[in-house]
Amino acid sequence: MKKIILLIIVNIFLSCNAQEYPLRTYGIEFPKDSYLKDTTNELSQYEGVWKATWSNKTIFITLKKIKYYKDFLDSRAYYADILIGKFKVSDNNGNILFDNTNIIDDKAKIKGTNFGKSDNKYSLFYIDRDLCGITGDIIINFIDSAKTKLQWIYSKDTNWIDTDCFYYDKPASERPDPLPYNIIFTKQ
Amino acid sequence: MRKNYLMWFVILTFLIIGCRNDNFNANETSNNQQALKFRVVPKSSIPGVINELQAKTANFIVSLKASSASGKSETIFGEVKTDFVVETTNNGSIYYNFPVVPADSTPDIYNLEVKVSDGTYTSKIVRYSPSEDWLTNDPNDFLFFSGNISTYTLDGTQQTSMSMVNGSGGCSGNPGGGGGPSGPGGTNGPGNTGGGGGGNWPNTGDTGGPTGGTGGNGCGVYQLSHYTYSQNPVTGERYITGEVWINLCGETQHVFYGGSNKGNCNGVGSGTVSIPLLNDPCTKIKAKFADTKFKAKYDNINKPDVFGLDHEKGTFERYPPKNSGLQPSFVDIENKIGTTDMSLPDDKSGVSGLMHSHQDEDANGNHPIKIFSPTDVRTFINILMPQASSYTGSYMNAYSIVTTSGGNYMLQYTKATWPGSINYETKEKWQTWYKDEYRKLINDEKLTQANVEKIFTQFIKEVTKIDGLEVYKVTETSSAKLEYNGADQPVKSTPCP
Repeated sequence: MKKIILLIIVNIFLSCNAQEYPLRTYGIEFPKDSYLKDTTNELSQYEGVWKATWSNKTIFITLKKIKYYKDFLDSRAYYADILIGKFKVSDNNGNILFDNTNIIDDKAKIKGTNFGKSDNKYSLFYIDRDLCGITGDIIINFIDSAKTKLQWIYSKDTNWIDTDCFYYDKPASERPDPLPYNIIFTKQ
Repeated sequence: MRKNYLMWFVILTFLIIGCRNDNFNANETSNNQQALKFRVVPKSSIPGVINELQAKTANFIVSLKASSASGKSETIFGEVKTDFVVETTNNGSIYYNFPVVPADSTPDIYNLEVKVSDGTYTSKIVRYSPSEDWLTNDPNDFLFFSGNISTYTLDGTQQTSMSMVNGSGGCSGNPGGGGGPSGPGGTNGPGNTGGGGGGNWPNTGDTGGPTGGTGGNGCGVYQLSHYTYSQNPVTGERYITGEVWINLCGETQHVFYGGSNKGNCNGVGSGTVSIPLLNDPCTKIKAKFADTKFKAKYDNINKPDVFGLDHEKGTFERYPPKNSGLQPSFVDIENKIGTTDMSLPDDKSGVSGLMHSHQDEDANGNHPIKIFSPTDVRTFINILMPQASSYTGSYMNAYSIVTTSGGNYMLQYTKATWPGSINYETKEKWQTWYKDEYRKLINDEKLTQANVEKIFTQFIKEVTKIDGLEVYKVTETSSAKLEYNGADQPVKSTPCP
């Protein structure tokens, strides 16, 4: 009995320490092990498989909400609900060009940050270690009330390419271009 | 007779003008007589001296007597720097003075002096042990040095010891020999240090020879940069205490006048004190902007129409092999056509400097962050620093500049050792933190340049955690070191002098 009481006390203590903040919290440094939580389930509406076609290519991207531990700074690591994205791109003949759907969640190449303070646009970033470290930013938002159409804007960063990169010195047409830039995705 | 005087005047004028370099500041030459009393010579012009040193030292490594923290005497090692040699003539003998860099931290200053007289070489280590008062009050003024000056043979045997107060003193066992304290009473420059001291610098009639020519690495020859001054506390008049020489990498050498050449103590004959200052980013930055080639390349990417492009532009600086006698060269680079990719050169040999622009908006409508990216930092550490070490002899000679419409920034490194290569995993962790933080700024509608600087300095301090990695905000005429000062404080900005 004593042990159970002790366990409850420890549990309460731990719960009190792990502060929770709603997802749309801005301008503060989150305390260690606090939790930026999607209390209104905004992110859940984006979950699912989305499809788009561009430049003779088709992309299927799966968006999923996860509780991610942002442990970049040891002393201020915290949890946050974010969206992650995994995608598969094929050409018109059905050849798979890019596929990272089997990667584990924590290593997903597309990770979300948060919504803008005064809009409903959600931002994500893309880092692809398999493509010589391509990086870019993505903004998504619904454009219909049924939330089946997703506006997607992707901006690719400038990247330094070194000789160990497989497309070093190749023309633009032979360089990987895995993501569409400005397109509407449809929910599957 | 008058014709003779006129001819000598013309010859001397010609020598004086011809032998000084272009950086000579006319406003600071009111009293530069003493500046003409030595010359900086390339080691290639003194093979006999260099061979003598090589034979008498362990490949230019010497033993030094030093005081430990507990006050006990200990032996440390020091490296004789041969790329900056000061030659003076005194009483018919020629003296060559070399800075010696101790391997361990010590307040003492060491020079190695070689005296050439009648074809005979005599070498000694000169050790300056400054008093606390002197260090506190004016550590640049060896004309009024206080502390102890000792000389040693190259095997570490002490020869002389001289206690100095305000530039005067006497030999050990003969404390009164040097005369009374001189005091800073002279108004006609450091030659007038009061009576009785004897042998005050300068005391030779040598009018100097050609300057520069001290090369030895890819950093080119040393050139006179400027004079250092002190101020007479009584009259307020400034007098020159020494000279600062600088090479293309921004490595600087101080040559202080003084060194108290008390002949009767068989003491220091050269009358100069050479101190290398190897890790001073402010001086390096100043030197870079004084280089007209560098400045032209910088100007080329520091203008509104470049920031208005939809892609980045840049230049890398390649240093030549050591001892090649060649000057560094610049090669322009631009985005690969139709891509957002910048290619590093296939041949990276000697590539130690990089400058590039971050435009306001790219072809995709993206607004790049107006400061370095984690990839820029990784390129600096993985490529520029090792090349700087191989081609200039120091990691500290690497630099990276980014120009933006919000300000221009320069990466510098101040430690002697390399922090190691940044692997892809670490880079990805850096990028994840960096992207997340800057996106939070954008989402929070707080993307000001002050906040951009805050995030980047936090990145340097708390994410990379690389000791010696520093960022400076630069313009062509000024620079300031930026440091993270906590989330609630603005970035700490320390202007370069």
